[in-house]
Amino acid sequence: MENTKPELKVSSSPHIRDSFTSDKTMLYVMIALLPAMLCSIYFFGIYALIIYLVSILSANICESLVNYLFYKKKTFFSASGTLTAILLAMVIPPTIPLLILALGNVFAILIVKHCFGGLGKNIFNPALASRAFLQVSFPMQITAFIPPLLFSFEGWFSLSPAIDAVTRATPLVEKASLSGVFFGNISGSLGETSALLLILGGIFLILTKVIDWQTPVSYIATVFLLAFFIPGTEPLYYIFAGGLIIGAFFMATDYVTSPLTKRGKFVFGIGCGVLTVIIRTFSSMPEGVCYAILLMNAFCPLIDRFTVLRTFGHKLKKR
Amino acid sequence: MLNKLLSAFSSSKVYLEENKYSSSSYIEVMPSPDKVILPLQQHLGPILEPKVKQGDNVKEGQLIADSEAFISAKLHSPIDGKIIAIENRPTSLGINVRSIIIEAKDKNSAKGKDNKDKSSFPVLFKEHDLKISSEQIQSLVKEAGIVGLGGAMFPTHVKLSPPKDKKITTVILNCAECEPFLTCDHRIMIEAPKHVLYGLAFIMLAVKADNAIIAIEENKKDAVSLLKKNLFILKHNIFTKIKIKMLPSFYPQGAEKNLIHACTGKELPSGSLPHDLGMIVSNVHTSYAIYNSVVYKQPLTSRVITVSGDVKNRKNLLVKLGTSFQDIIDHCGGLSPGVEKVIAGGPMTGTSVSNLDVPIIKGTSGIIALHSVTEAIEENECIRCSRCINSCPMRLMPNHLHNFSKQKKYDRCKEYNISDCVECGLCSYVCPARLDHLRWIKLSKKLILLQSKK
Repeated sequence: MENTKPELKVSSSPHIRDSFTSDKTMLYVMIALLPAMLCSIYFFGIYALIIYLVSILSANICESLVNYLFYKKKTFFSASGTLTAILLAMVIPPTIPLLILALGNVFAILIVKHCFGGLGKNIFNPALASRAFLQVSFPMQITAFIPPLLFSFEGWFSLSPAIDAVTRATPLVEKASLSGVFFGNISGSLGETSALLLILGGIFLILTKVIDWQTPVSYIATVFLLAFFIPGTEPLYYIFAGGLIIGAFFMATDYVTSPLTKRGKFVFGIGCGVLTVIIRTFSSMPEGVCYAILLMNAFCPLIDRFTVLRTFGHKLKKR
Repeated sequence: MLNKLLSAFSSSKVYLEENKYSSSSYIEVMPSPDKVILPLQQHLGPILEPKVKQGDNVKEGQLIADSEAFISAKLHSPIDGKIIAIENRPTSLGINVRSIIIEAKDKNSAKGKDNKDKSSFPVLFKEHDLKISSEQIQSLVKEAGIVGLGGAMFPTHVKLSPPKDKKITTVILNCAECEPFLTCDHRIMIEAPKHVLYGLAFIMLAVKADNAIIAIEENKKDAVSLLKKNLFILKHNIFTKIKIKMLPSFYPQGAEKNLIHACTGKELPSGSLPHDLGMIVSNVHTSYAIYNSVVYKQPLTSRVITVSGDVKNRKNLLVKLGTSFQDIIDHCGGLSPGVEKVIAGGPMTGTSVSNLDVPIIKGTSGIIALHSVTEAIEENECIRCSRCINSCPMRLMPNHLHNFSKQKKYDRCKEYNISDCVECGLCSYVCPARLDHLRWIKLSKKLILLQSKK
């Protein structure tokens, strides 16, 4: 039997690859965020859905423009841009005007990500850095928190931001119930409120080995333990209130801006925890997660230097 | 399922898809080929010098090439025939090597007629009284030209002659066979357990070891029970000193340093050999070949390989050395349509061949055909996910080594211990951005070695 000689490809070993790709990683994170996203739409109405869509759209348009102008690549959908957009949308109040939201996305993609080197090279978490930018640029709009619009018919279906609704401070300032902060039936940023669904999403990511458990566990445990020393706070309430859960599972575990080794991630989590508690207790801001993680992002190269692995067969070297 | 979920909390071991399709196929003896190509370098060490010339007639088992160097292995003819050429030919390692080409005396001797081949698998078992000195074993192994058949091709008689000042306590028999698709070691253990155990006993006598460990993966439970049964049956005192150790079946369980660590808990210091820790590690197939060489005085002229992947029939075959890949694939029914890669060895550490006329050499443990080339042609940016770092068995940082290699910063490569890399390929396997770390690491290791030799 004379079969034509096959054209064989030649390359260096290994000749097989794992099916996991960068895009799949980000897809898994989006799946993990989906329950909390749907819950936020349930609590805050159709405008919440509009916020997500506008956020994703503006991030993708910005990414496409940057890719075309700077890298000469034509892309329509960017998984990392979409993920940044979703995370940014989840840490701002549900009354944000759409233009400010779009501006925040452009800042995150263009300045924080691409001006620092593009995918894989940025120092700061784009969503958190953009939120910090919005905090100083639009202090009024970024703190206009409202309670859930569940029982207000016209409020839920309204297509415009409910800025004329009665604002209520977040659970960190004004005490709410423990079940409220856990299930999310309280005022707060769009996606931060439901601790339960965020924890479920985080556990899903750990079990599918998308993130390592060291950072979230050390971060939350540090805050929990330190809360015992702060008078007037109940530790369990303290960890569920505010943006700690979403920060610990989704922001502090961002691959690009966190340390490489597991020991380094552990140190990173502890550092974030300490800074969060300090900012929450001693500063004039009620929420410390955003700035704590950003400060630890800056320490990341130093942590990497001091947590190098001991190679098999070598003694530990002092650096 | 629960184990898989809980493994997220334990140390990250990478479990590859094993694809051990041929693990229950009996070893088939392939008929003698019409032509064999024998590269003069099928071992670690200098190239051999031919002891025959063009036009000579040779008999099966006759010595055809040898070297003066101590670290070398003799080469014997696998068939009766005539030397038609001694010239450079391509090999499965990617380089052209001077080879001896022998054409069989009576062609088509086995096709259609009775198999006149004297080889069979396994050779009939003969008990040995084990009253043999270590020097005798070393010289018989040297005469047979045996090398490490796991793929490293290190001359076995050198391994069995450790330096006089090193006391050897333990022999570890490497039955891990962690690479996907390959099942030759597994089948040898099932079909020739007594040979394997006697071969291990010969190794122990040659290095004067006190005891031995058979290190075997959990996915070979049938082989474990057969070996246990035979250890019980065989009467000599030496077999009471052999223990069987079951290890989890992940990749690369069979890598020498990790195997020693898993069996004894000791870490082999960088740059040293197992005999510095009092251990010798040997492959199962090598142990079978040692039995043949000591009891039957048979030189190494054939070996068992696994043909798997996208071929019509997946088999374990006993083939003569020098048989071309094309003949073997034809014997297995040919390649399935759409095959894009043919690999000599396993898919993680083997070399991809460009044409199928390359021969089987002593270190080729399998022929794997793959249809959809799952590696990407386009590399994306590193997202610092640290999967490569988590999966490296030597605890290196492949992403840094990759960047330093690209920037030609060889001092920083040495600082990050690049020479400790065992080239298992896991870093490139797990990378979600499809970066080819191993390619750059291999290149830098070679360049650093060349630099240091100057």
